[in-house]
Amino acid sequence: MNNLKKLALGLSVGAMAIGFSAFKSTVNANAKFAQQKFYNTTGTQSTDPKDYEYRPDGACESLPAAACSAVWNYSGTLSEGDHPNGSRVSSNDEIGTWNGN
Amino acid sequence: MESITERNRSFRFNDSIKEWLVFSICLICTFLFLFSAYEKIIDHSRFAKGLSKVSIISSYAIIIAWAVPILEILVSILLIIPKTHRWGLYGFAGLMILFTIYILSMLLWKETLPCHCNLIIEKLSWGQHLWFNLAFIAIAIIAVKLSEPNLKS
Repeated sequence: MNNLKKLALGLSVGAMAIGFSAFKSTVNANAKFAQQKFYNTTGTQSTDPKDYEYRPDGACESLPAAACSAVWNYSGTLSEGDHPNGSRVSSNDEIGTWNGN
Repeated sequence: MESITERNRSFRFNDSIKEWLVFSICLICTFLFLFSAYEKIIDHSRFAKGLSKVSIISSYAIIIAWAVPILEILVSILLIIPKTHRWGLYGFAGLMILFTIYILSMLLWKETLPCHCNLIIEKLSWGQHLWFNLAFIAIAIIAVKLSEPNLKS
């Protein structure tokens, strides 16, 4: 394979990477949910929405065991860091530790 | 003497296979870095905010938040250009080593802080992320070794 073909293939892969990334960003930005998982930033179960944040890339790690996330009602378009503006749905928090994402 | 040379030859990678392997690794690394860089630039405020929460680098958060995607793009360009792909592989391995040190520090200090990773990585724990990075460092080093010009036969 000559250098020109390699360069062309490399540029195609680069364009594909940016395209996929843009698509993923758009999907996250347009997220609208009536119910959504919010992550507990304190580690202690609470009924205060300010203790919970919307994190599209968040996850609960199994250890250390703490209050990690709960489902809340929400209206409007969510963006990262938003607190729930509706009532709490989950009776108990999912146990684990928010991974910080 | 002749049979030893033959045996050595059979163990040696065929040049075209080597070339394809190195080129494929370069493409994979390019994809990973460009995907990551685009997200870091588009969602820059989130990335910078996340870095500012990391105590050891918080004072340099803004600089790092711009430096990381810019370096990723530069390395990707080096990887794409056939004549500079070897430098790109060095850059890729270097950056991945830096990211791995960052992850190790997170593991050592037991911090649960954002990494703003992409693709499947965002669902990984810090430990799994560490192995992911180590695997990429390993394939980059393999590609560097394979792309070394033939020395004495």
